[in-house]
Order: sequence, then structure tokens, then C-alpha cells
Amino acid sequence: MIRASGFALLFALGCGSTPPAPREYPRLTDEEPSDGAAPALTREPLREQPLVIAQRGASPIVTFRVVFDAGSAEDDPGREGITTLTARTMAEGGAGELSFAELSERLYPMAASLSARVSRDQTVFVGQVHRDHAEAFYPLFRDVLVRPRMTDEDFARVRQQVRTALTVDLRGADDESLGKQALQALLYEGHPFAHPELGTEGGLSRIRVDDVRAHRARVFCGGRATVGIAGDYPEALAAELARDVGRLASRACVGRRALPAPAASEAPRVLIVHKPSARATAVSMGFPIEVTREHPDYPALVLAAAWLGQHRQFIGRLMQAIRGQRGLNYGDFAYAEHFTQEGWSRYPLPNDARRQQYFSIWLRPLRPETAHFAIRAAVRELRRMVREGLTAEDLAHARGFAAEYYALYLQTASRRLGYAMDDAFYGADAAYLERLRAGWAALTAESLNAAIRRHLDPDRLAIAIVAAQSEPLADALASDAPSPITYDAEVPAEVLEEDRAIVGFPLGIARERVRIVRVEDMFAR
Amino acid sequence: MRAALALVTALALCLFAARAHAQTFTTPPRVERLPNGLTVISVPTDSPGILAYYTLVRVGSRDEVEAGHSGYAHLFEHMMFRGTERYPQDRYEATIQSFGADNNAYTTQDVTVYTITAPASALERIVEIEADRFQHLSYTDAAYRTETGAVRGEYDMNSASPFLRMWEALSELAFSRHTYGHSTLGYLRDIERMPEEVEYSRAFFRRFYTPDNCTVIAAGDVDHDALMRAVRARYGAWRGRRDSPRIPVEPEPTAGARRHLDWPAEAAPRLFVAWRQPAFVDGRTERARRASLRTSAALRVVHGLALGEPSPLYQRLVVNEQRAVELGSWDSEITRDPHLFITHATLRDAEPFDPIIDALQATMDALARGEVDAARLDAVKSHVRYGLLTELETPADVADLVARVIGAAGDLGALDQYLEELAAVSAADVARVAREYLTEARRFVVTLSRGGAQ
Repeated sequence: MIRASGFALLFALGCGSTPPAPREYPRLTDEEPSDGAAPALTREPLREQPLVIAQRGASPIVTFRVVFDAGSAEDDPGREGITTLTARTMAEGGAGELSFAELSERLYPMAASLSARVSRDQTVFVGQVHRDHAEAFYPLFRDVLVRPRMTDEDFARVRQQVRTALTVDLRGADDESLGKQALQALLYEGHPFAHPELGTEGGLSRIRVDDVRAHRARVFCGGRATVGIAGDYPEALAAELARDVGRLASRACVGRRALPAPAASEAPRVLIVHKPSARATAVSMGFPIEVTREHPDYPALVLAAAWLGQHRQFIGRLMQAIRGQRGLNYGDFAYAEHFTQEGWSRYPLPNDARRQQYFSIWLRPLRPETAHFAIRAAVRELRRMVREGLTAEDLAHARGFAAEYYALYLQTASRRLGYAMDDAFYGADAAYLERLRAGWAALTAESLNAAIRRHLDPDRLAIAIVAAQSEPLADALASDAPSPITYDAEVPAEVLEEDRAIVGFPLGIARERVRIVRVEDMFAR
Repeated sequence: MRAALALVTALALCLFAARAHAQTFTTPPRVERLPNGLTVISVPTDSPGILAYYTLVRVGSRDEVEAGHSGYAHLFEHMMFRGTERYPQDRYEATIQSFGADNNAYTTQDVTVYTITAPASALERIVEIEADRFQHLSYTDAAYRTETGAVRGEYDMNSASPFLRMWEALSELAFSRHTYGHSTLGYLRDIERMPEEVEYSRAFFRRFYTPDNCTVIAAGDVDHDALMRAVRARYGAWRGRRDSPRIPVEPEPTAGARRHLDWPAEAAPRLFVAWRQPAFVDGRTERARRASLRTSAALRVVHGLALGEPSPLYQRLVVNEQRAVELGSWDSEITRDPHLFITHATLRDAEPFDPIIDALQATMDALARGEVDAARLDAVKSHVRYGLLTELETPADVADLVARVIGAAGDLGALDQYLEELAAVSAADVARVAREYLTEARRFVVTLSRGGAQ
């Protein structure tokens, strides 16, 4: 959709003391598919105006959430990381009449927070402030969205921070997150979800400040936005926010890219990130599924994942088998959709929605000598769940837990707002918790197990591993050689009995389907 | 690590007036003590249907005085999930899961905290099963050894990050006698020996898991009288007296120290610059306690003045010169015994450490000379006040705050007093604490980079 208010207005507002907008914006790579490149993806239409979700309530904390349906999947090939650089240069730079230093000075006494977070399919700008300062805060938040300065200096600083986050933090110091990103790289090879939100080293190097200014104009548009506000805010603010975000309209605005289907895989495959300094072995595994929140089988898969391994709780089979009975690591979990933990809580971040989802299992770091065994134990539990299903008793227990536990996801006004916005993203026919509870109440063991079998196919499993001894591990995995296990402790007879089945449990992975990539090559280009 | 970082948010309570305190806890907390010494605190909040039920044990890595036995407070955090005769682990877990509870725990230098968030309707059952496990924990040798594997797994999990190595090094450097010299996770060599120490672990439980060393904190949708009825019925028969190991006293530092670490993977230059600071609260007399709280409050203000985002140092190093990728401080580190005022930075590649360390010290020296801007002092006070008001959102947030204050101070009353002192912090207080504590003679520095020292 094209709006008359125009690009010129947008950048006229944005100028201030900053350099003028470039006369020519970089050509969009998806408009010029070169020889041999993947065909350009079609684009979805823009909305007429932002969706608005206003939840005025008693909370003294006022939360603003502005979600754009534009995540790292919008990064142009060769400019991976541009959406993150754009959003963060906006949120961590000057805006309107204020430099970043001046903006920080204004926000500080309010203890207000203002940040941007990019996920694969969305970018969210979140502002939080006590109601005493809501009116003083709002113009600052607004200017970050509609009048960001995006100076060379702000851009250079943010790019350095993002590059550090990719190379030093992710690759150098966080093998668990690296394993999760490696899994997605494997599941979504050749797909816009393949690279991390932080981008690639090559992409970050190529992106110029003009690129992020242009990218902002193209994707952070009112026609892609859902705006939300919650708490005890001055009543007029909701309409003001909607109006201001609605002004983000210009000829540059383009609709969201349609996503291709992830490449099909009929057999298990493995990606090992070779990291010589890794003391422990990080493991993530999973496969794409067709179920997202609005799907009728979503409640069933959430319940199955909770039973197999609710995030950071002890209810799951994986946790009991791998940590509880055998003490092999710190935790083992399963997920029916992409999951990013919010802070130190055990709850997922809202506004992290995706049009396509994957089912996954996360094993926390293992001693290298036990990694093969633990992978087998996890795959075996998954296969058992798919083959044997849950009993009526299992279902009753998991349902009793989940019906209350999932209410904890909605404890704050800010999170309730985020979940309502996610419901809008998915087009769900009822609010998140109500829909889950109704779905769970209607389940029988038969219907649950049928849903599991419809969507979870262990034969399609992709496994991502971060390990020091990559070649021997690759050979062991592909040969299905026994992976004997010894314990410091006396282990119950039934566990040892089960071990005999795990030690030689066939994973059925062909050697040519095991790939080893050096850590420095991960997300390099 | 969780604990260390959680401090930054949970304890950002700091500075605000007594009026703000009343706003924070919309209903004043009620505190009672059972004859056996167990303390019970309720803090009702506007959280319909949700309850945070925390059990605080005032034992942390600080209490691990025996050589070769670091990490046992944290190990016990794990063992407490291994069940009792009445509620073996499976039954305990099944019961707590039937409430839909979020059940976890964490350990710091000073405390171990067991955290349950659950529907308020489950209160009586939660009291029953928690009272049972704190009085009747029972585990086999085999279960103990298996759990030591999970602890080892936690160490392995943290070992991928340079943070753990840096933290271990800083602790060792700054404390040669006091038990703050080892991390809460414990040394790897001690963790590797844990499987053989089952009897030591049982003794640890008897020594520290006693009613007079524990506080039950219930926040959220809670009725104090109903809580007390349940607690008296279930915990009343609990007996035991806390062991009081002699914690070695760390001499006052007279010369700082510095250590460099090499990291075998990709790493940006990172550093900790820390100064020895006093305990959160200290002193036998009321006057002395107040004076120590004023000092802690003034140090909190220094964090904001020196390292807050608008501070000249942050703006210069991070925003303008961009020599640091990040720069910050643990602005709410409050501890039972004298610990550290901790700042940290991550630098651009190949950026030398010395100018950054010098810039940090110069900032503290300027404050010590009395160069304190009155408007910025007010801004910091406002920041801390509103920081607290916006961070206490859930019953768990409130319970965490109460737990931290009790861990450091021993009683919740210190919170009010601290807040009063914070409101009264003056420019002269800031200069005094910078002069007394943030000097080179009390400074400990750990640097880390890939390859050799810079």
C-alpha cells in the first residue's frame, strides 16, 4: 500500500541536525535476482493502519509494545543482520531533537526502559515507565519510532556491539545458544530463518548506515505494525500511539515477504560445530512442524512438549531420565514452538511469534564422553512418545499441571499485552490461555496421541551439536557404535536395564548426513 | 551466576524515601517468629490467585569454611529436591506439579532460596510439603552421587563463558582468608570430589537447615492468619540450632592486585575492576548500624553517578570514543560481610586495558574530591526509586527482594532504615565513601583476552 503522506515527510521529520537522507537507496536485492539466485519471494499486502490493542488497567507500570511484522527474515541476502542493526540503531541512538546522550539523560531519572528486540519474524519496541512519567516518556518513545536520528556514530557503535554479540558472545562464550542457532541453520537451510537475528559477519561488514535508514523506511511501517499499551496510562495515549505509528507510511513501505516452506528432510541429519575449546557438549535437536498457535492441534502439542520436557521444570520425561535418574547434565527440555526465555524467569518472551514453527529438544551441556548416550536417550524418549503415546493418567497429570502453570505466563500487565498481540498475529480464535485450557479439556489420550503422530516425525530429526571432538563424535553417531555409560553412583537396576537398550539404540544417521563446520565459519558469511 | 546477576535487578531497590516504601508494599509486611526460631513473613500484593512461597535458608558459599569443600551450599540446593520418606522425590514432584507450580531454587554467597510460585489456593498443601522436606529430607547415597553429576553439569554449562573464570579469579584475588574467595558453584576440583562426600553433605543439612536459620516468605494473594495457622501446624515441631562456623576475617587491603587470564576461544578484552567495600549493614549499636547503612546507600549512589548510562564516563567510553562495547556495574550488590564494589567492561578488539582502568579510577578520585553534581545526585535518587517501583511486578519479585534484604541484613527492618538513609545521602556522603573505599589500595582487577596479556 502506498500512502500520500510520503517518504519525504518521514525523513523531513527525521533530519534534525543529522545528515540528510540519501538520494538513492540501495537497490533491493530481492528485486534483482541474479543468475542462479533463489527466486524472489512474493510480498504480502500492507494493512491500512496499525492494529491497536489497548489494555488500560490498574498497574502503575505503563507498557508500550510496538510490534512490526519484520524480523531477520527480512534481511536482504548479503546484508544479514540489517534488521537488528536498524532496530537497535533506532532504540539505542538519538531521536528527534535529542542526541543519544540527551535521550539517556531524560530517561534516566524516570528509570524508564526503551529497547528493541528482533526475532526471526518480528521486531518489537518496548517501552516501560511508571505512570508518574508516562506523559513525559511517550514523546521520547514516539520519536525513537518516527524520528530516529540514525547517525553515523550511533550506527557504528551499535554495529560494533552486534558484531561482538555474534562473534565473541555467541560463538566464543555461549555454546548453548550457539547450538540453538545451529539447529535453526540446519532446519532452515536456504530459508530466511536460517541465519541468526544478529546476522552474519559478512553481512554486518557490508551494511552501511544508508542501508539501515533505507531498511527502516521499507519495513518499519504502520501497515506492518501492531501497537499495544497497558497499565494505568492517560486515556488519550492509546489513540495517540496508534496515530503516530500510522504515520509510518511512505512509498518505500513494502509488505512482508511470503515464506517458502523449509526444505523437506526424510532422514535424520547432524550438524556438528567444531569448537576445540569447548569443555562440554551442547545439543539441540528438532524438526519443522506445520502447527502454529492458531492450529487446532496446538494445545495438544504444547501438552505433549510439557510432558516430555517443560522448560526448566522437573515434570518432563527427558529431565527425569537424563538428569534425575542419571545425573548426566543440568536439564533437558522440549518445545512445541520456538522458545526464548525472558530474563531469569522460566517463561517465554512474548512478541516472538513466527509464521512457521519447529518442535525441538534442548539438552544442556554434557560431558563429552556421555553426549552420544544422552542423545540416544533423548531420541529414544521422543520415539517412545510418538510410538506409544501418553496414557490417560499421563494426560491427566500433564493437563493438571499445565492448566495452572501456563497462567503464570500471564502474571504481569506487560506480558498479558504481549500475549494478546501474539493472538492477533496468529489470528487465534480465543485468548491464549483460554484456548489452551479449552483444547486440553477436550483432549483424550487417543486424540492427543493422534495429534502427536500427525505432527512429530522423529525420522526427520535434525541434531545440532557444539563439541571439541567433532570427528570421533561424527563417526560414533553415524556408525551407531555402542555408547557405554558408567556412573559415579550406584544406579537402580531398572535404570541399568534401560541403559542396555539406550547404549546401542540406533539413530540411523548416515555418515554423509553428518556435517562438521568450524566454529569460526558459523555465520561468517 | 544467576544469583549474581539477579542481584542487579532484584536489589535495585535502593534509594528512595520511606513514602516510596509504603507504595511498594501496598500492604505492610507482617513478620512473626515461631518459638523454634522460624521467621514467617507475609507481603500481600495485588496479584489475584497467585502466591509466591519462598523458603530462605541463611546459608551460602560464605559458610563453606572447610578446605576442599566449596560448593556445598549450592549442592544442597539440588539435594533438597530429592524428597523425604513421606514424599519421595517422585511424589513430591507429582504433588507440586499438580498445583501447576513454578518450582526452583537459587544459591548466593549468603543464602539459599527455594522458590515456588503457584495458585494461591494451594497454600496449605504447599506449606505441608515444604515443611516436610525441610524437616525430613532423606536421600540415599546413590541419589546423592547422581545429583553431584547434575552439579557437575551446571559447572560445565557455565564453563563455556569467560564469566565464571573471571569471577573465580576476582574472588581469589580479593579474598585470601574469607570464604568469599571462592565462587558459589565451588571449585571444579571440589565438585569432582563431591561424590565421595555423602556424609559431609548430611552433616551440612543438620548444621544449617534449622528453623532458626530459615525464613518463610509468602507474597501475593496471601492471608497472613491462614498462613500462620498452616505454618504453626506444619513447622511447629521442627527443632535444631544453626551451626556457627567461624568465618575467617579478611584483613583490610593495603595494596590492590591485578591478574590476567587467557581465554582459548574468541573473546573480546573484558575486565572486572572492583574495590573492597564494607558489609551492607554492620555494628552493634543502632547508631553504628545506621552509619553503615548510610555508607551502603552512598555507595549505591556512586554506581549511578559513575557508571549510569548518562554518566560522563559511560558517554565517553561507550558512546563517543566507542572503546568499550559495554560498561556497567553491579549496582545492587549487597552482602552480609564486606565484599566488592564491582564494575565491568567489554572492550573493542585490541583496545588496551590500562586506559580504561585509569579512567574508572579517575572517576572515583573525582568523586572523592567532592566533584558531585547536585542535579545528577537527584537524578540518581529518582532513578533508583522508580527502578524499584517498576521492577516489583510479580509476587516472586517481591519475595526475591525480601529474601535479599534478609540474606544481607538478617531482618526486614533494615529495609526501612536503609531507605531512610538513601533519601538522606548527600554529596558529602558520596565524597566520603569514594575517599574511604574506592582507592587504588583497595582495588582488584581481573582482565581477560584471547592470547597473551596486553
